[in-house]
Amino acid sequence: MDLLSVLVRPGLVLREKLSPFLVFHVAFETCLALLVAYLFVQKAYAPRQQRRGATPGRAPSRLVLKDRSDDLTEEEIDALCEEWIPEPLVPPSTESVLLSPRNGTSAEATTSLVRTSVSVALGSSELADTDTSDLREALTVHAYEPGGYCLVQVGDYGMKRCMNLASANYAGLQRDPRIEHACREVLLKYGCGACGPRGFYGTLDVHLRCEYEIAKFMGTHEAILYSFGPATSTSIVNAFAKKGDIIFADECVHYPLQNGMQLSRATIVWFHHNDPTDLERKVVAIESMQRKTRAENHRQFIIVEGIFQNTGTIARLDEIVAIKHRHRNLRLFVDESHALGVLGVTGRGACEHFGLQLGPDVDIIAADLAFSLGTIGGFCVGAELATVDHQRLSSAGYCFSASQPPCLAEAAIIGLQILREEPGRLQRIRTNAARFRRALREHLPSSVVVEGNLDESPLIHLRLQTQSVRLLLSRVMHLVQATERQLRNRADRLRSVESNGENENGDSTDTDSSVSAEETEDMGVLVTDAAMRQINHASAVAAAATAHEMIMPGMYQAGAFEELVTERFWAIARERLARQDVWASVPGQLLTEHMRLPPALVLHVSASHEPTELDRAAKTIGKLLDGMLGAVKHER
Amino acid sequence: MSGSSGYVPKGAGLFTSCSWPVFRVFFGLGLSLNPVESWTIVNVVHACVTFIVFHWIKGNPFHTPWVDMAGKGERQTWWEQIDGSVQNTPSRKFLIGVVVFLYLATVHSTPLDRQFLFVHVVNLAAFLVVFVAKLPFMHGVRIFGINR
Repeated sequence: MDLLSVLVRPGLVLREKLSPFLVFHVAFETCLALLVAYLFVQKAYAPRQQRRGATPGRAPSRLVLKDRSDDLTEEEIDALCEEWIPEPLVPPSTESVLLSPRNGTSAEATTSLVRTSVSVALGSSELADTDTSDLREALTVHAYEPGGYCLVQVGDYGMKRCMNLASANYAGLQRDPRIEHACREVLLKYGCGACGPRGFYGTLDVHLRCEYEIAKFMGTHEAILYSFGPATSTSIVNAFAKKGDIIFADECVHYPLQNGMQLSRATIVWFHHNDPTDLERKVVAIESMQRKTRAENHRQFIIVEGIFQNTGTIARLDEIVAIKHRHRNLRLFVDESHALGVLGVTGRGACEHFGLQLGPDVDIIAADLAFSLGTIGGFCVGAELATVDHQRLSSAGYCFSASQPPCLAEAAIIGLQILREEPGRLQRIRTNAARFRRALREHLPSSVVVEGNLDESPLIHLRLQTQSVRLLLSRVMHLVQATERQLRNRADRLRSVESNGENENGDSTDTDSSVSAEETEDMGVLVTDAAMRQINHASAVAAAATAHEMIMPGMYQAGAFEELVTERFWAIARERLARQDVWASVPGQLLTEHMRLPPALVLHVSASHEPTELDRAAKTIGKLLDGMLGAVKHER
Repeated sequence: MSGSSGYVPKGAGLFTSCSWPVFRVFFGLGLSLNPVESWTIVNVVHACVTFIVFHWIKGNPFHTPWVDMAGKGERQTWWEQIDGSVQNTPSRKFLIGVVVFLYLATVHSTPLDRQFLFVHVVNLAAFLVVFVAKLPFMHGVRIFGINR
């Protein structure tokens, strides 16, 4: 007998004897009912607002009607709109004084002043106060020719047939007639493709054949084909690493990988470039930290490149794999973009070069098809079938991107076929690279470093040594200061002319002369303004240069000033090389979160280059750089 | 009660209010258990399941690379995420009501007798855990750092 019975059949309850148990029962259930009733009449509120506000009862919520007296009046809204300063879309640059628009200087103007000064320092014919446009614009490639040549329009200088060291055409498949023919056939048959994602009417037989061929080439069961190389590594990292996972990444990995790591929201632990000792130190540190917090169910990845795009060095995979085996729960992801078709007996890349197996040693291999295979796209192969299958549903670049145009997949198929049928090609890349590197080391001045730890790597970065950068910097600084002095003098002269003009104007009564005096005055003011602006630029640059020189002498990480100067140095070198029939590249800056690589002149050796031509190119480059650096040294 | 969007879909209430009577009828008629056993099982199982689902699992249950919750959502239980963390909303009241009703039914069907003491204790414990966890003042509170 209890509350419900009392409510439903009161007569029956009253007839029975009331026991203390029954009283308790009724009381207990009444309490519960009251508690629920109390909860049900409570008003909704948002917990944050209640905690902060002084009066919890009045705290607004989206379910309670808003108090209209809190609304702003029209005037208040206008006033707020007047006061409002939008936040910049891009955070202000903290990296350098130089590129900040302070003291009325604009980044463009200061940049052009520095560039001009570099040109002058290198003995260019350009005048110090003319604004030179970017040299890149003056150089355009008109055509690529088979055999590693290209036609370049060098400004007003005319068309030159240059040796192409700017394309990452390692296997020499650029403009290969077999590939072009096959591409044309497929293009005639399928057109541009289905324009749908692979899972949504985008798959054609060519894609499946290409995946099969790639899997066969890489010695595994299944491969996944992506439509765009840079999107490949970005998506793969994203498909596997999640928030809370840990990625150990080399600090020089290329931008798509960095991008993928950042998008994955995993914790990134950078280790020093190609330094397995540092990697192990960090792995151990993370392990001990995890043991403390008992958080062990994280996925952990090591991410490296076979041949690093940003430095041209080959990853020390043997030692990295040893570390992977020494510690549990580590997976290794190798981006073989630049090593594919270059290293290894069959050209599978750096893993094959070190004799590593996909599966026990390496977990994921990805590559961009744009380098050796000379097409567009990327692929991934994995240790297990699930590695590839997982990506087919959870890799953004695969699921949400239109499938690769079939003709490009066909190009990859033919490219792989050629690599398989002509093993001599691989040998030729490596001997060419070794020969070119040796020749460069022989001919280059000692202040230029040929980067890389393996002679067979066909990706060659030339960088200035710290001392020459410092020399170049001080020379540029000297020039900037001279410009500043010169401009100041000229402004002073103008100002004195202007004040004379004023006096004359005050004395004169003649209409004609007063007009002309006003004109001169206006012009004087205008010229002075321009001059003052220029002076501001110059002093800002000088200040920036001095600051950098004093705070971080000769360090590349110091910021934009060194970068600007070195980048300009290489741009000029590139233009002069183009005039001497060598076509090199100066890639733009790609940064990691914490380090900047100094600008470099990048050379790509191809299998189609003639060894003697390579020797000649090395000699040309050596002589030119010798001359440029010599000019800097002597003019001091 | 999807954690990713933080609002309760309409069918959820219907599902909840239909599912436990079905179990109750199944235990009573199908397995021929007496009311005490049936109600106790329904109450305890309901408490266990909702405790795990609402008060133990945290973050987005359907994790995909391109749908992710920013920051705090990853550290909130599902109950805390319901209705964008607003307290005392109709759906929250409904779910509290379900918990109380089940306990009420259990108490109602169990005689106040010494031999049922254990049943009473178990039911009270199950009720208190899920009931207290659902109260507004427990929002974001982790007692003794449990499930932090």
